[in-house]
Amino acid sequence: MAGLLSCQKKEEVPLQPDEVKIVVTTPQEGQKYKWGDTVYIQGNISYTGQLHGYIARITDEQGAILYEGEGHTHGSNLPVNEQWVNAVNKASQLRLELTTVIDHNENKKTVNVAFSSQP
Amino acid sequence: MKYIIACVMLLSCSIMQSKACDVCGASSGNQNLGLLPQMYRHFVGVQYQYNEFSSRHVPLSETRPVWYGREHYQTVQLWGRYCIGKRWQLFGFLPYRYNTGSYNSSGMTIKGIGDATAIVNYTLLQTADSSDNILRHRLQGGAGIKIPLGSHSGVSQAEREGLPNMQPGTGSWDVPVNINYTARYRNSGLNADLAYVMTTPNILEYKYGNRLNMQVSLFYWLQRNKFSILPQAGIRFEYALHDYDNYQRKWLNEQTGGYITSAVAGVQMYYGKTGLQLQYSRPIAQYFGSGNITALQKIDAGIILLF
Repeated sequence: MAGLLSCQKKEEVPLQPDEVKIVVTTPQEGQKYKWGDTVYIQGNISYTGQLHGYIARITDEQGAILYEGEGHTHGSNLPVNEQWVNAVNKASQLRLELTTVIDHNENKKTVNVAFSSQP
Repeated sequence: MKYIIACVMLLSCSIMQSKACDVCGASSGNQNLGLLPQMYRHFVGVQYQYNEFSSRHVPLSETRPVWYGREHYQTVQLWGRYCIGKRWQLFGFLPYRYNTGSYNSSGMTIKGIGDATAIVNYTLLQTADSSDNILRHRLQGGAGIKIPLGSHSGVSQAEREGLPNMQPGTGSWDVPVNINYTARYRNSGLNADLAYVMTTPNILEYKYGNRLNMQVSLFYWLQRNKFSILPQAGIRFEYALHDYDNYQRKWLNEQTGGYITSAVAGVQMYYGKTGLQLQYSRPIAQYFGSGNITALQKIDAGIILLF
């Protein structure tokens, strides 16, 4: 059975994580948000080959996950459009980790954007 | 006696239609003809099909829990056969699909007209209707086309994760081919049916995997006056190749495809020009959607009017 499936043609391209482009439009580096503000997580991920999705995660200084969203979309161009309402009511450094899943073999690429919450 | 012989010989294409696709790509619409009534030349019918699956969804993020779902695929289908001359038969299928899925606290329902299929079959071999022939054969084969009448709005995440198509249509023109063989000795018989669907990419360049559907059934024919009943049992094998997320780029989705082997039991009943059909299938071995999809059961029921 597996033999039959393996007969199917498949694009074979060498993995090139450096070719993956992750652009985060918002939040911007150093941007400040107040309690109750909506943090729009927007951007775009592109690659010459196929991508398998993204994970957008906001963490605090201790590394606790405040928000996590993902898009399991296959393609070479993945728009990112998530949002989170800031529930942190004290001054805090936050971080957006935007990770794209290049394939189902755990190959990933991540960019980080630091921003802050102000009461 | 002549009526009996005619009935049995004419039972050489069945009401059973497996929408393998719903399992093995419902959407691609495998049309298994199986054991069909031959007492009259033409018929029209309505068929109800129910397929149930469970699914396991692994998130991209390792911090999120695996979640589970249950999918129910229901189809009500108009279908019929029109004979042209002694050897040609034209079959047509028009499904209406009602698919539901439940996932933890959420759910979805997708419904609408599905893709229509037309098939032309030719009788390659048929034993003459003579009392000299104790063992009778009938061999038919043909091909057709599946027309993308059903709505299709891109491929959902569920489909990317290996689920059969939840949408009413596939958006693609596909070519089903089939071969159907029936042998009968006195009141007992065997029907072997093979259907294969060659798919093409749709406008979004998504290509559902080609699908194979085979079924072998033994049947026994009982008749009293105008009433006849045919219990049957057999085994069905469904196999689907991987889908392509983008056929032009040859982006193979290895989460899709697989096989399902099912035990099948059913009965067909005829009274005059009216026929009823019921079949139940339960998988006995399977590996589908990288093991994340499990076929649970399948029910086919239908009524046909012969003329």
